[in-house]
Amino acid sequence: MPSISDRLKALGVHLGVSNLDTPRLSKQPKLEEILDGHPAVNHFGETFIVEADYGPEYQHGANPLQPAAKLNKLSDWVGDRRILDLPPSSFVFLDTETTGLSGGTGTYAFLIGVGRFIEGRFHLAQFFMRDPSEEPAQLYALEEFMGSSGAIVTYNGKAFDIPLLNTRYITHGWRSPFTGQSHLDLLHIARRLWRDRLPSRTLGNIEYHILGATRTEQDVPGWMIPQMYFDYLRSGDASPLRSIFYHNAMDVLSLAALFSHLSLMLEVSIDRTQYHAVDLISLGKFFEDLGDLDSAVELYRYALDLELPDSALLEAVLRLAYIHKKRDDHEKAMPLWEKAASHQHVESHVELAKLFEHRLRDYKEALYWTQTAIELVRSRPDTIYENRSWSVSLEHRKTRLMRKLERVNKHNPNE
Amino acid sequence: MSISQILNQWRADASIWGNIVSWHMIPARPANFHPIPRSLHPAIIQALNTAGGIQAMYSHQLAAWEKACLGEHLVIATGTSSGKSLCYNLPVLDHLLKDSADRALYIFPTKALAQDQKTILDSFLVRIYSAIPDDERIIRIVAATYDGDTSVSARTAIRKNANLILTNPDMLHTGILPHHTNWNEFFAGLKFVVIDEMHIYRGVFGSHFANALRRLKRIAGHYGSRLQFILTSATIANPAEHAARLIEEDVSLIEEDGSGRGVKQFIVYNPPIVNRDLGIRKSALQECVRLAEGFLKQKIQTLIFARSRRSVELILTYLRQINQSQENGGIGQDISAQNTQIIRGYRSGYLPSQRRAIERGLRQGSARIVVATNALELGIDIGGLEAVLLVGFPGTIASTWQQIGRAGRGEDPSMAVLLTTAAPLDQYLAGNIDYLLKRSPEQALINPNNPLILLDHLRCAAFELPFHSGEGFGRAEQSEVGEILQLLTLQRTLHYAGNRYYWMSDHYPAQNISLRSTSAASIQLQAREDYSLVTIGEVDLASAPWMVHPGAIYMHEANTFIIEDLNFDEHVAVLRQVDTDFYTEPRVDTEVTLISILGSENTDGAKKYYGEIKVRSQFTGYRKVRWYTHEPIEFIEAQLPPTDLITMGYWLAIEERTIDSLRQRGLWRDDPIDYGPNWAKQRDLARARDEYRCQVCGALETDRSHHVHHKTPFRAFISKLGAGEVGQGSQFYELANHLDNLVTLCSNCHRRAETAVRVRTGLSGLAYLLNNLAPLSLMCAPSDLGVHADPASLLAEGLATVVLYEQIPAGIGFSQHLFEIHDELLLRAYSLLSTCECTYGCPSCVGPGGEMGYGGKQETLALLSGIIRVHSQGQSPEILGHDSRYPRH
Repeated sequence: MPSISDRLKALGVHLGVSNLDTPRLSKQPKLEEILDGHPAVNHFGETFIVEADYGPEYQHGANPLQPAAKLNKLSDWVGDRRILDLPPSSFVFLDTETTGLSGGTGTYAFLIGVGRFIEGRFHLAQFFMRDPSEEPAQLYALEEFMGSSGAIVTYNGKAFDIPLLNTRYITHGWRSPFTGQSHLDLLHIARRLWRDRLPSRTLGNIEYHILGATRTEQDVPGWMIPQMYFDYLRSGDASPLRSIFYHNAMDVLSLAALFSHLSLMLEVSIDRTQYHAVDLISLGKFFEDLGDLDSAVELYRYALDLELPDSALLEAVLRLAYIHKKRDDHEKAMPLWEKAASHQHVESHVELAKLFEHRLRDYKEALYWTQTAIELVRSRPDTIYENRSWSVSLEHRKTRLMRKLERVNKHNPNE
Repeated sequence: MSISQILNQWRADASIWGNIVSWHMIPARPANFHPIPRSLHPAIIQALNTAGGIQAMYSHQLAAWEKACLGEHLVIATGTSSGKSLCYNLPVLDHLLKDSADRALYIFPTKALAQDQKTILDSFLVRIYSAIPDDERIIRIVAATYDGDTSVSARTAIRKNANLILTNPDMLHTGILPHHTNWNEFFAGLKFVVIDEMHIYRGVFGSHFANALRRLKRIAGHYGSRLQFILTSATIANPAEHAARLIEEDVSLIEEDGSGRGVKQFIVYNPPIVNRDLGIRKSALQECVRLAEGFLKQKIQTLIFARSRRSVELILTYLRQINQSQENGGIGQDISAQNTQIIRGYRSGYLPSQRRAIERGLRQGSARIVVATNALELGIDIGGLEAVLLVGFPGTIASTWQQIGRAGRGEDPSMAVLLTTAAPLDQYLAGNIDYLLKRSPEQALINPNNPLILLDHLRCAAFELPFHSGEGFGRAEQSEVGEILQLLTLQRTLHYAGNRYYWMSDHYPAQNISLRSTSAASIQLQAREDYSLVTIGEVDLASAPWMVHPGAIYMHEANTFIIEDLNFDEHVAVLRQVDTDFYTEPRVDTEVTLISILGSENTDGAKKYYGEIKVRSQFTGYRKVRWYTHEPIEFIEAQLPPTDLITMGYWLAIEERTIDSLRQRGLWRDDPIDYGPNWAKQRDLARARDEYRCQVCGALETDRSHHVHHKTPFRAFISKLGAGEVGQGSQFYELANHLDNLVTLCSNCHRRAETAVRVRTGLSGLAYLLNNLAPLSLMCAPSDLGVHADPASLLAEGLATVVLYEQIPAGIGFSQHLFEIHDELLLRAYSLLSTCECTYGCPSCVGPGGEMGYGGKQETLALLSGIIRVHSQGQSPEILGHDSRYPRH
């Protein structure tokens, strides 16, 4: 019987290139020559750490790294009151570079970047496994660095980084240090605030559009990173790693800067002039979700005086109108419905018709809004899904109003 | 009306009685009861008592309990409805009730089965807890299914809280093992693994599954758990051996069935032959409808098993029409709602709620006839019925018994009827029902060390946990494991560091590895559905040219598709669903070459071998053939690149002296032909008549003369002579070489014309026969085997040879087994052929005769006589039974 590799070859298995491996040459740049880091030894072996320090004067784009305020709104939003009283030094900002995106036990976090404030300065540490056998030492060093931190801050960490790191710890039979810890995943808040304005809410996009930070040419797109690491493992050539460390460091810094930006935006009665009008409306919605209607009304009113795209304008008007309606303040709601109605908004017509019919008992006016709504629906393309149900309910309303009008006319024939 | 009255009616009806080819009474067997053991958890004893007052258990259930308590791995192979699930539920639930850290994993072959068992388990758990109300100290057992239907939101809670998980092999393979860290507590507590319906895990599926179990054991070991396996099986020939191969541990076998059963009448009904020359029989489906009509009238609850969804629907339609016209006195066509309640279908694709309703209908008696596919064969609780009809042999004897086992409520009398079709295996069983009644000859075979399958699972296992140097993988050859790991390192999928092999790739291997196929590469089958393409399956690359060539008719779950396009670059075949009255038969030129012989032995008049071979297949076109009549419509030429299959084969080479003896009697036609004294003259006349042009492509002769082709093959005239169709006095070669039978062709066109015509000879008849009979021992489909007959084979020093080879690359163990049962296989072939009612050969024996030659049957019979063991020649095949007991079903 031929050997199993020969049999597999004969069976059509592609064995890939076998002899193109660049041999490890001594003149190839070593990790220490490329990066300002050092090997660190602990009970579980050796791992490689790169550290850097950022003083209070450091600005990431237009933002400082230190959070500006207490985190009332943020803790409300994530529903975790534990983070309310934490000092800045208790937050750990974390981002990983991995060997793939598919998850499962065969995906490794070969580089883990973490930052935290130590005596007012932002301290960044990057834990790197020079090969996968260093993983236990890497994970142990990370756990030591985190110490007694109070909360972790990530971007998409709930779905990706933290489950992946939990898997890594459990694989070695350890309890994950992240179990039960407070966790702020800024992706969810970023989605809420910038969904309507930015084409996508990746950290790179937020960094560029919101934080105003830029990266140098040293950066590398995320999708290339796994392959670059595999290449390094095979060739021992560390030079491309510089880009990965830079990429990871920028991600951690952006996390801290975004956190600081959000603390300012959400917690302080801010100077609204520095924000985009659409963002103010998103912020209003954010406050509405938290039940802070006063702040929401204030933001909508302010934004309505600014230049707004039609869709944002309509949304602000409607939101405001519904808040007034909920508060039974029809005086304030009516001009807003009228404004929305002038934007061909069917529901506002109906709201006006309801208002006149039930509150003001002005059936004529109610009939007018019903009729314009009917015409509006008719003028729209048939493909609009709600058209049918609108037509039915509007015709129903119309008939009822005509009947009411008739009755009123009978009682007051002179009118 | 009772069963015996129906049988009396049949006796009186010649149109039924005449077709009954065998009638066996399977005697009643009293139940073998034992008291419930006191060591069981009191809540379980209570629950058993309240459930219909069970005060005793069957002997096999007790045996399972006792062996399980000793910590042994065990397999229970008793009949249908013998209470097998209690065999594993008792020890598992008992343990879970006694230790809150213990966990159990139940693996069922399908999602539906897992869900059915969950329902049964839940109602048992309810009884356990109501047996001990409000007892705070009792441990709660949470059973949950975990499969593709489990919502993402429910998954975390299930992983955390459930101590009994019901799942299927695919979920284990893609969803659980690669994410074992999410299951760390579950694996740390895992004690029991239950594998239900283990006989399903055979062939490719079984070989994959055995590797998935290697991975499961590896992960469990990582979390410090030692597993105890409990398996159940239908009755097959090798339950203990098969279980041991699956789990790679020693296994205790429990096969003494202690459940009781009533008298069962088992009848084989062979629909009458309507055309003796072509071997065409009346349709088994139509005959089934005729018999079922009687059951319907007499209000006898009946279950009909059909082989495809399509047949189920046809039988349903016929029966409902018949029943309706009876109700309406022959007026009106509409099927009333009540009618559809009485006659119901049951197959895959029904919603769980519909299935529950049908099962309820069966138990309560409102459903009088249920027409089902084998979806109803596996462990679903419907109680017993009075009568079961099987339309066609279900493919394996194990399935046949599972289906027959559905007849019989408690110890009441019942009956089961097998209606045989014209397929060779059906006809074989019609003539040799002892094979079914005696101990099953069926072996479940797997080869977990098939290199391709092993490679697949080593990838998955390396993803799950790094391998350390020298680590083995189940009972795979350790040196081979090491070699594959190095290969994967070379391939840059693994990285070797610090004595370990780490997965270093951004792929998730389990995603792309199907447990049901083995191939380095495959072709995706994409069906047009409205305006999009839906992937309905795949075929391996090597089989693609003959299975899914453009124009081929492809069957998938009883639906018919035509292949519109086959794209080798993109590995895609595009299908469109069609209704056709024909199917297609590919024409493939096959060349078999030897790689290595692994075993050989002289037998009488022949030599048998098995070993590794290469099969090169060249697709040259296909024939359209009409359904039912198997009448050829047209042949279409086509070309596709050749494909190579490296696999295992079993072959038998006929010794020269055997052939000599056949030759002397005029029963060997595989020699080069002497075309007769007038051939040279006739050939020149034909070329001149055709003006030296190829009559297909029009090419003119150049320096070499064109060929002259016999439209009706010359060999066919020789066989007509043998069959007495051509008078002995006349010169048959004159007829064969008559100008009307000759046509001028260029060498290319001639080659194509020859491949379109296959002459039936003794050798090709034997090949056809063996190909169709071999699956009976292998529990596989005829299409899992390829066959090639060669009068001068490279496999055996130029001797005439028939080779059966495995369509699965690198093989799954079929060849070695065929080598071992060589004598038995040939005897079976002889028995089928000598009892076949046709004249010159038919689809049920050596393949259709007719125009292609008349001697196939006679010559095959002569050939077989020359190579079967002399001492058993001519005897009835009954001598083959190892065991004269009645089957334990």
